[in-house]
Amino acid sequence: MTGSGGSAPLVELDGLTVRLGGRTVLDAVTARLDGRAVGLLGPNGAGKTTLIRTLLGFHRPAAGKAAVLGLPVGSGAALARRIGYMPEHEAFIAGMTGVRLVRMLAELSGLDRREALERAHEALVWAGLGEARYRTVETYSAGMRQLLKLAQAVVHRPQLLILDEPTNALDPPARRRMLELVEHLRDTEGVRVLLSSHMLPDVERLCDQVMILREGRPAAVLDLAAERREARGLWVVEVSGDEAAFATAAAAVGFGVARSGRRLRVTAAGGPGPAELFAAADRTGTAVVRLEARRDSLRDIYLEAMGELP
Amino acid sequence: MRRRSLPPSLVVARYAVARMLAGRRFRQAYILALAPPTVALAILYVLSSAPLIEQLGIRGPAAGDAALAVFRALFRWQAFAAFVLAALGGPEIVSPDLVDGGLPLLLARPLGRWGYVRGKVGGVMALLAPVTWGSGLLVWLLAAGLLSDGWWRGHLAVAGAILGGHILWTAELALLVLATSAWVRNRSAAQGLMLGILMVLTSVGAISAQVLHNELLTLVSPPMAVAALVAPALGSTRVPAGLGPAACLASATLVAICLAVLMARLRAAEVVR
Repeated sequence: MTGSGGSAPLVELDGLTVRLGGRTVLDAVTARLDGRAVGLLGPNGAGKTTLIRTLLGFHRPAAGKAAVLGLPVGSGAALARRIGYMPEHEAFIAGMTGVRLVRMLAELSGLDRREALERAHEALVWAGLGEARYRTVETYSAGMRQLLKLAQAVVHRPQLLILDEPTNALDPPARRRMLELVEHLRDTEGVRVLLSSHMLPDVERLCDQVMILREGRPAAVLDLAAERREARGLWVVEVSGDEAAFATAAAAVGFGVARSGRRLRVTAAGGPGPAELFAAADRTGTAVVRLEARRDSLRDIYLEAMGELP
Repeated sequence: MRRRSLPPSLVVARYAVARMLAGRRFRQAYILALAPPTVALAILYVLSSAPLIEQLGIRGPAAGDAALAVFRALFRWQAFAAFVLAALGGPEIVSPDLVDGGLPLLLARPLGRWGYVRGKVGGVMALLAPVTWGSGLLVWLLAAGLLSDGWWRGHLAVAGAILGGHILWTAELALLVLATSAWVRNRSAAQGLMLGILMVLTSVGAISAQVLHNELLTLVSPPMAVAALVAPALGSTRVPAGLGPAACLASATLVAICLAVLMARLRAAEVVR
């Protein structure tokens, strides 16, 4: 369905600053994102959508540079033909049938009329809209419109698929279907993906690299694949006695310790493990009441980056 | 063999034409708009027929004057028909792109805002061409064949006025209807706004010209500005002579305002202040 993604970095940002309406939305962002599928995470207003729109050339940077697939942003048709974009909000042209809309957009991406028509049918059937393709798009349900946005984004076989909240407003089966379709594109067609989403499980499932934005700046850039390989240790510990002394003793032997509610959240990259935690408890005269091993989930990493874990 | 794809702005123009022609009322009006050239042709045929001229008592130079009067009337009717067609079809090709967020889908392709505007304006102008300068020039060519041998040589400027005047008028109409549609986004409101702008400008121009005794002020009205440009060639005495440069300036101002409105309103991403 789509073309090869190539080996250039997906996105390179060099001091990228974007100001909109007198407000700095992206503030000197520098990052190199070269994953096969990159997730953009962050709270509302963090700058995710602005970053995507800047990469598409919708916003002009106030300072700095950005490149997508090795091509500078603003390099016109050469870059636009390589990108498929699925916007966050409702996006259709009323009065057009699904196939006509997708065909027109394929033609705008440089396909000739016949090829555009063939690909439009192919993309709509692939997205599961085969039955509805001759209906005018305003009659589509919310889920169908999401699928239509995906079909138009892939109709010209882009190298990079930019998805802005693709599972918004979808019920669980439709969400599952959407994720499967994107996985298919990523794994079978070699399409690279830039995904902005509030749904951490979606990002965790689809992406191998994540950039977490906070107030227009990257709070963290994570290689999820490496994180998974390292299987970093994470334990939730509850102790009775002098908790502060226990925390200090654990930190002294290489643990990262943070408070999480009534409990302590203890992390370690290789090296120390539960035995060292019990030893620290012994040394400080505290007792480990509860010790629960957990994988360091994207949620934890996200909350840590947001400063919401004590 | 792989066929060549059209440039994006031509794709936009092609779909704009198809979209306008899909409207039943537009198609009906379009067919009606072909009536004036047909009537004009019939009148010119009568003027070229010696026995009929004799019966009507028209002689020599008077036939030529009558032909010129036919072209003046034809120009006015075609300009009016172009206005009606632009008002009917224009909002259909812009409002739907803006109301439901379709514009980002278009502008994420190798198509900039200028290309989008070029395509839409081109679509409107291409569709209006057969009912304005296309049929006008056809009538002129047939008149050249029907009337006396030297008629066409003496009236080349008429052909120029038909071509240039209608191209300018349809371009202004296309930009105006796109700008009003982009501004209000609602089809009916855009049609009303376009009509209102032309009526208000024409009224303001006429009244202020009378009150201030300055004919230049009539050029505030876009149709009057175009009329001022074609009047000398069409032998019209209704428009004061010598207003050509000012009419060019008035038309250029209208075009610039419409383009500024379009560039302000056609944005792939809204910025919330």
